[in-house]
Amino acid sequence: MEEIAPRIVFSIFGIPVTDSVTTTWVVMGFILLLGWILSKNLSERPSKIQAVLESVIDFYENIAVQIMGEEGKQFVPLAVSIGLFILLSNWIEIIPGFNAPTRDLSTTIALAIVAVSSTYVVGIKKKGLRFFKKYIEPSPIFLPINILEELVRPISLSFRLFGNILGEEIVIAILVMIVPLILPIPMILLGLFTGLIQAFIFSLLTLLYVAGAVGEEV
Amino acid sequence: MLTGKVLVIIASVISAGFGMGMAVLGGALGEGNAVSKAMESLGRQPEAQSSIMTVLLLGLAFIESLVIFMLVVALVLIFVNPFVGMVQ
Repeated sequence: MEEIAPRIVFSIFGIPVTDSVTTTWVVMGFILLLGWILSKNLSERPSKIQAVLESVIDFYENIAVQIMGEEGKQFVPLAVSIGLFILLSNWIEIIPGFNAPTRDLSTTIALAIVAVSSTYVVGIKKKGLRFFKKYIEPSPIFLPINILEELVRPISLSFRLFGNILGEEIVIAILVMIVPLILPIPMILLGLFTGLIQAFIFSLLTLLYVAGAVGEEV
Repeated sequence: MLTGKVLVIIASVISAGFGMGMAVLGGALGEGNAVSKAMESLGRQPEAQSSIMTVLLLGLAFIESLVIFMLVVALVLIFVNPFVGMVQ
């Protein structure tokens, strides 16, 4: 199990830095590189890659508009950034020598905090202090239930992603111990599929929570 | 000899395995229900296929995440059991 636990790589001023952080840097660099390459020759008549990217953004915009109306389009960059980061973090497992940073609970908790706090920021920016009225809806008896639901959201977001990715890694590690060459391959493919689904789920839930914070009526 | 530490280990391993089995049972039942309803509605209205599949996958991931919560508890009990350190 030592191969999949987070390893400490070096220390900065006495704070240990795990390999999740360095892999996160690699993923960030990869996203920046990808963004720079793919946006160099944008044109009105899209090439194939540009058409694929536009269809992905379109997909998210449709979902956002379906959930919260026209103002949903401004939150699509947030959801797509989170989704893309989680997708590449999950898929960097394929490259030998790299471990997915999302198998570390720290990374997933950080992402969940980003997603949940952005709902607060957006909600307070839009509604001011009336934002906190939604905890009294539909009646003040519901206040503890609503608070509990708010607390559970980052926990469930982070644990869902963490459990999926770490669970897949443990299964693959056990299979590698049994028959190293052929047996893990179906599980690795399943892990790729799960990584894609979980990235999509995380971004979709971010959109949903922001919609809940922004929405005026039930 | 059933000292305290051995008892803790026995209890955590049994509960991890058994709890995981129950979680998988509940998850499989729920997911089977979801897929069967999706199949029904797909047969009733095949042109809504992409929307049905999207909603189905979304719902399955939610159900699966409950099973994953139990997996996390089982992993904690087996690998980083806090009680094994407490008892001599």
